[in-house]
Amino acid sequence: MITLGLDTSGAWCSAAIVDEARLIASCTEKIGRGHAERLAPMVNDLLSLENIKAQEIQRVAVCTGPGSFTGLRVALAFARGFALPRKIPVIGLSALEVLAAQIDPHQDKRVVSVMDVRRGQLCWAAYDGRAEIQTPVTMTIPDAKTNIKKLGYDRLVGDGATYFDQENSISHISPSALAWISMDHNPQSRPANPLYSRPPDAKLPGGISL
Amino acid sequence: MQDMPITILGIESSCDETAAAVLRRNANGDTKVLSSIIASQDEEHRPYGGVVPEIAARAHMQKVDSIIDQAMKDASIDYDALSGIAATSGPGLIGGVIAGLLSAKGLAMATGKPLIAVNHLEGHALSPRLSAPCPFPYLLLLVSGGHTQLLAVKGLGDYERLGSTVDDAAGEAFDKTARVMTLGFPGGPAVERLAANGNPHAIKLPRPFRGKDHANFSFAGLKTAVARAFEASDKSDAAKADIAASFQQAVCDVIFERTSKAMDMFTSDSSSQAPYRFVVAGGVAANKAIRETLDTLCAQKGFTLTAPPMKYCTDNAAMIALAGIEHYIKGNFAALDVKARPRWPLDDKAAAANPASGFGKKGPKS
Repeated sequence: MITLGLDTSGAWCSAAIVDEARLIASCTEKIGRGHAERLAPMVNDLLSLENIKAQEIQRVAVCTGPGSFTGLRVALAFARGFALPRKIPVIGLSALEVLAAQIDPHQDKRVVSVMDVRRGQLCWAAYDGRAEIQTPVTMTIPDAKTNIKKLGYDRLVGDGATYFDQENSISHISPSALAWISMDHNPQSRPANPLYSRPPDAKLPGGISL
Repeated sequence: MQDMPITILGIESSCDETAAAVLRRNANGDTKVLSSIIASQDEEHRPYGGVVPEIAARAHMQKVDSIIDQAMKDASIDYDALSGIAATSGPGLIGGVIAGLLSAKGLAMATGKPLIAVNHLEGHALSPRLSAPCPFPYLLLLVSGGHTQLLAVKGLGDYERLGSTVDDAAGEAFDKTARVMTLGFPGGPAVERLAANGNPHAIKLPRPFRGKDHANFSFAGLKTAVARAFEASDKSDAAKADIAASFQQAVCDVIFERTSKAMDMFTSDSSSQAPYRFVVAGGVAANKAIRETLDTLCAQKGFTLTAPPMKYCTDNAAMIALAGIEHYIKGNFAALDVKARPRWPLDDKAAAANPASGFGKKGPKS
């Protein structure tokens, strides 16, 4: 099943084309901003380089975040539009889940993925092998530290690792890993919806925040 | 002349309506709206008394693909039957524009059809032509929650700014007036309902730029004056009605006087000749008092008034698809790296040389 993997949730803009057995093509660029301009040409270049028609793509896997709200919508909107004509499945996977799989390829360890979502908050999730034992949750740094230490882990991954006096060993989502993991899932178990780490900034009249 | 029908999907997501439409232009030049779907986000924004950009972006993201699919189903055509895909690429709230534009990029790649990047304001400028013949040139008043502009529409891609708001849009002033008096969102209909019971001459409010030798607008001071008048009042229902009526009267007077100036500019231009056409578009054009004001003005000045039906007057995707057809015919296709633009004045030259509103990193608004 030829799968397109896409990630625009952070500083990186990434795309990969894989099938079950091999990596067909991949591109990752650290661009910071401008994902809305870069993504489509990047996918187009991968397709033409490998002489694959867009119609041959049978599934799309997208990183749902956490990350830049505007950024993560770039790949999600592109993927949903791309899927419409032939109604191909779009699978949404969180950055936390993909990073956990990247650091634990045999999937036999307890991994905590933790990301710095700013404003003194961490978004984290925990995995025992393939099983998600803690779904993505956002909390203050002290609360996250307490909860994560209580749970315990074999590996810690993500840019929030520095709060646990660890180096972050994986700097970005691998779009090919994302595409391969999606093959174990379906749009019902992993819908292509954004993972927002907090509600929108909006104040109700009278200064009450949402 | 074309010999094949042209079928274009239009996508609009620049403010608080998620919309998709399919238009077909037949070989004889007739244009037909095959479908037009508009999903409003009023419910999401109501508690805040105005459009919240991040809430808007989330709502567009959530439903843009299903709205597109619904428009295709309603039109009873297959994606392969499209000639091209047109999407608003600005100006507007960037999060929403990105959601619509990136869906269009994905669709264009999946179908191999050309992508057309449409200026939302150009959609409004062409919108009268959705429902009736409306030959160029004409004078356009675009008056909505995001824009208040007077443009000479001389042809496709040929727009001259005659006037623009230098601060708030008229629709913003309605929303803020409603918010001050806690009348609900959107403010336009709420203020209009209340104004019907009030005395339009009860409260003295300013008429910004009256008598000035240009056709620009300003609504920020009017909004502040309304807030002061409300604070100074006994806040009874009768006082609210008087303020609403006086505010609406002030907006009508300003629109009358400023548009009259633009009409003089329009008729003195050698490229326009009688019969002169005047078009009003945008959500604020739904206000009956403003419509009557414009009727009176047009009669005085010898203009014929055209207002597109309400469904094409407010934000919609049919106008985006129509602009898409015109650009398709000219071969104006967008590259896959086309940007989403928060600001994109229709009269680029005038906006760059002498910005009426908006400065800084994003560039001039108009």
